[in-house]
Amino acid sequence: MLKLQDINYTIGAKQILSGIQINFEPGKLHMILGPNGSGKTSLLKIASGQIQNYNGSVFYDNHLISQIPTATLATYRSYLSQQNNIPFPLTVAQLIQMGRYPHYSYEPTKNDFKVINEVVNKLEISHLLNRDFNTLSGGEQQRVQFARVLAQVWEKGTNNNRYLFLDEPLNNLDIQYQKYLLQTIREFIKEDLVVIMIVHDINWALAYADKVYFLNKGTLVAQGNPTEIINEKLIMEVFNITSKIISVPGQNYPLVCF
Amino acid sequence: MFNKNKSIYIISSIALCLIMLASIQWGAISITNIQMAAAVKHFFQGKTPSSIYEGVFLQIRLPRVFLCLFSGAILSVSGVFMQGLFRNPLVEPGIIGTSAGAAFGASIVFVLAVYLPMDWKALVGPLLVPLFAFLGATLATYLVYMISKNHQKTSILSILLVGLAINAMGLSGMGFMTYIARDPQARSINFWNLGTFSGANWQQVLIVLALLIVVIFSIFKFIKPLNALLLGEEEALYLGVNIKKFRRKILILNTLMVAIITSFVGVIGFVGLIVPHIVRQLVGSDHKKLLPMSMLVGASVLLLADLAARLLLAPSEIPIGIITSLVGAPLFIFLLKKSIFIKSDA
Repeated sequence: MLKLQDINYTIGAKQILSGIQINFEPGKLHMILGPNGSGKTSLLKIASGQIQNYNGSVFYDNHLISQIPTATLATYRSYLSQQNNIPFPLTVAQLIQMGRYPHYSYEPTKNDFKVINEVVNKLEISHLLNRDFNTLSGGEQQRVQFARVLAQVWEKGTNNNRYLFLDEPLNNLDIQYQKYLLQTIREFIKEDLVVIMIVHDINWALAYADKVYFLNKGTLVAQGNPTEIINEKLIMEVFNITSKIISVPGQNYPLVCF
Repeated sequence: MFNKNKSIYIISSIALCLIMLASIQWGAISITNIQMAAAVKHFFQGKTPSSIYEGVFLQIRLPRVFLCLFSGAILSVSGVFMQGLFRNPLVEPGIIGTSAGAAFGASIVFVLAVYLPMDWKALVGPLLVPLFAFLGATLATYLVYMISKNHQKTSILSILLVGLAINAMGLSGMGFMTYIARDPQARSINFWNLGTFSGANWQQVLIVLALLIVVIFSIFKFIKPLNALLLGEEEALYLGVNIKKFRRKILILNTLMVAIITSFVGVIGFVGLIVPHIVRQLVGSDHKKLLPMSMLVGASVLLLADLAARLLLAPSEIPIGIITSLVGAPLFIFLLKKSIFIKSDA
């Protein structure tokens, strides 16, 4: 369980987040939505340990995050950033291997290679392994980075629970791979895994999320089961656009039209 | 494919041995294999050298070659460290002012030593010069790092510009010390400016060897963090690297490396730029291969440069810093063009 207690965060005079109170339960896919600049990424970076100068408390399984050593946390928490340029040539294989860094000291173990193999096969990127990361397309880079963070928390670590943070993982992906990635995450979710991701498409949230969180101007305006809380009024309030929610025959979740 | 790295190692090692041999034998005075053998034999028998050639071999050529070899390895590693830390292939101690800071620190002691009380003067050469070089280099590194770092990103343009300013400050500081120095001292300060191995002695070799051993042992712990940093500081933290601690460690070691080398042989620019660039083309950016290979190639490159410095205008010598800059500056421009003018986000 990941608990955010009364999180307030300011940069200079600007209030980025105020009074955030969330319990992220394991075994669930959590999606954070909100307009640009609403504080989504800041929230993710606070919860994952990147941003440290906030007010409030973050607990991982009842341990205060500041009490957990950086190297220990890395064995059961991984994070996919929005975009990444790498100023040196680096092969895809080397990059994915970095996902296992928290788990070995000098040489990767047999198990590390086994994990890497499984991830690579799962994401169908074995043909990219010897390529230079910088020569890949945006979508391919996104999938390779996803493989790296997945490899990091692929197995049960030293902790009871594992945490996977994804900041707009669907960026640069075509519709086929968007769906593929979401399905992969769904299959990957076990009772000990917390997945927290930022998405923009409300329809993906309706289709895949267990819980959704709507941020607006740094405050949490709604949280809960997507089909229960997403309605035209909320979308108007958060995104300032009119919409229509319709049901689709043979599908157990509705569709939002804009 | 499976033997590519191995063969690169073997070829580089053989090349290094051949270059070492050439460096020992060639110079203002040539030394033959027979003279070398005789010198070694006499040395182990405890006899005094029987000819001038043996003396040159033992007291001049050998320490020079070893000092050059170790310095090449250390300066190249320093380049790799800095490039990893700043996440850019364009930085190296000569460019961002670390060496200039070290040289300035060293020149202060060197010039002001005449005012020290008698019993302090003995410390100047072995202790005070490296210490002040270290202080100067630390100050320079700190300034570059703090000024060029805005918010989260460290942009290469700001590093280079701040480095330029720090370099200018170090050089003008040295200029001032030269101005107030007495004549023979002024010439020696000039040597720090351009670099030379002509004053090498066994004491320096031993100190630099000790430093090299420390560097080699540290490298094992630095491989993973440096690799993780390729992805960015945030990513490195997510991969379990305590960035603040790591940065402090590597900056201290790096500054120590540059300070000691600079206080012995002066500013030798661009080695830390040329060598990692060549090695990345050969083995890629993985620091597990990049670091050891840079040591090997760095040693060869600096030995070659020293050989050129000795032979081009023989019997007089060109300062080695001039040679490395002549080769390094065009490469720097090439890399700069690639990284700044092509990528708009530089």
